[in-house]
Amino acid sequence: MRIDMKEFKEYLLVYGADLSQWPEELREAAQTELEHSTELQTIVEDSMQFEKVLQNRKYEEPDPGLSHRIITASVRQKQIIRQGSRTFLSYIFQEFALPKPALTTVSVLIVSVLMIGFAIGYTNPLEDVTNTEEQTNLQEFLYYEGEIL
Amino acid sequence: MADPDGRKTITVMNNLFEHLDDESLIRQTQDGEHEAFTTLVNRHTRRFYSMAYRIVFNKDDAEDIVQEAFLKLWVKKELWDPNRQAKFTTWFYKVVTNLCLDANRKKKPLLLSEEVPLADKSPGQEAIINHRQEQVMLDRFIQELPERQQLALNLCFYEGVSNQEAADTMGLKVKALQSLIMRAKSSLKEKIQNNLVRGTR
Repeated sequence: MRIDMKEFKEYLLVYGADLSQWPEELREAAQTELEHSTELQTIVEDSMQFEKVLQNRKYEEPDPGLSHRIITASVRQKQIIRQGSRTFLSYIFQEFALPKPALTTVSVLIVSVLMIGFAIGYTNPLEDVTNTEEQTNLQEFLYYEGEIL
Repeated sequence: MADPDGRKTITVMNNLFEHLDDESLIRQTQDGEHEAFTTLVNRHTRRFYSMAYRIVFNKDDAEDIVQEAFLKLWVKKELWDPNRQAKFTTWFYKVVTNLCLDANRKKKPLLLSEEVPLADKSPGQEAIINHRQEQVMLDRFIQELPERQQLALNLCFYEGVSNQEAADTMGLKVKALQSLIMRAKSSLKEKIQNNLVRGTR
C-alpha cells in the first residue's frame, strides 16, 4: 500500500501528527513514506507544532465536589418523587420561603399599614353623611308609602 | 455506633457496581437502583464536564449542564432506550452536547477580548501574558468555526473519542465527520499561522 502526499496530509489532519495513533492498515505505509521523504518529515513536524498550540487551549478543572453535588441533587429528586404531591407542595413552599429577616420586615410592614389604615378609618368623620343619607332615605320611603296609601 | 456489617454490605455493593459496564449500570438505574446511578456519575462526570466546558467556554455553565444531564437521566429514566442506543457514552455525549448548544443559543455571544493588558512587562510576566493572549485568540478562532466543525474537533481532538463514536454522536457517517475535522483543522491552522505565529515574531 502506498500513500501519496495529498492523502498523507489529509490523514495527518484526521488522525493527528502521532503516527502510532493512525489506523493499523495505514500506519506501516505512512511510516515507510515518512522515512523516505524529508518534505513529509517537515510537514509532520509542522503538524506537531500546530497540535501543541491547539493543546494550549484554556481549560478549567471542575470543582472536586461536582460528582457529589450531582448525587446529592439526585437524592433530593428521589425524595420528592417518593413523598408525593402533598409534600411536594410543602417542598416548593420551603424552596420559595423568605429568609427570616426578610419575613420580619414584611410582617412589620403589613402591621404598620394595617394600623395606619385603622387610624385613618377611625378619625374620618363619615357619621354625618350617614345620618343625612338615612334621613333622605326615610323621607323617600314615607313619600313612596304615602303615594301608595 | 456505625454498623460494621452494614458498611461492609454497602462497600461490597459499590464494588459490585464498579465492575459493571455502563450499559448494565444504566439498566440498573432504570430499575431505580441509585447506587448504579452513583457509579455512573462518579465514572463519567469529568469526561462530560470536559466536553461541556469546551463548548460553553465557562466552568459554572459546564458544571450546571452536566448536573442537568445526569438529573434528566435519573428522573426520566425512560429516555435511554437500550434497543436504539448502542453505547451509553455515545448517547450521553449527545444529551450533553444538545444542552450545551441550547445554552449557547440562549446566551449572548461571548466576547473574547483580543487584547490582554500588559500590567507588568517583566520577562516572566510577559511570557504568561503572551500565553494567555494565545489562549484567548485560540478560543476565539474555535468559536468562529461552524458549530459542527467545533463539535467534531472537540470530540475527536480534545476528548479523544474515536471517529466512529463521534460520528454516531453527531448522527453522521465517518467520512463526513472526517471531512469536518479536516476543515476545522485547516481553518485553524491558517488563522494561527496568520495571527499567532506572526504575533510572536
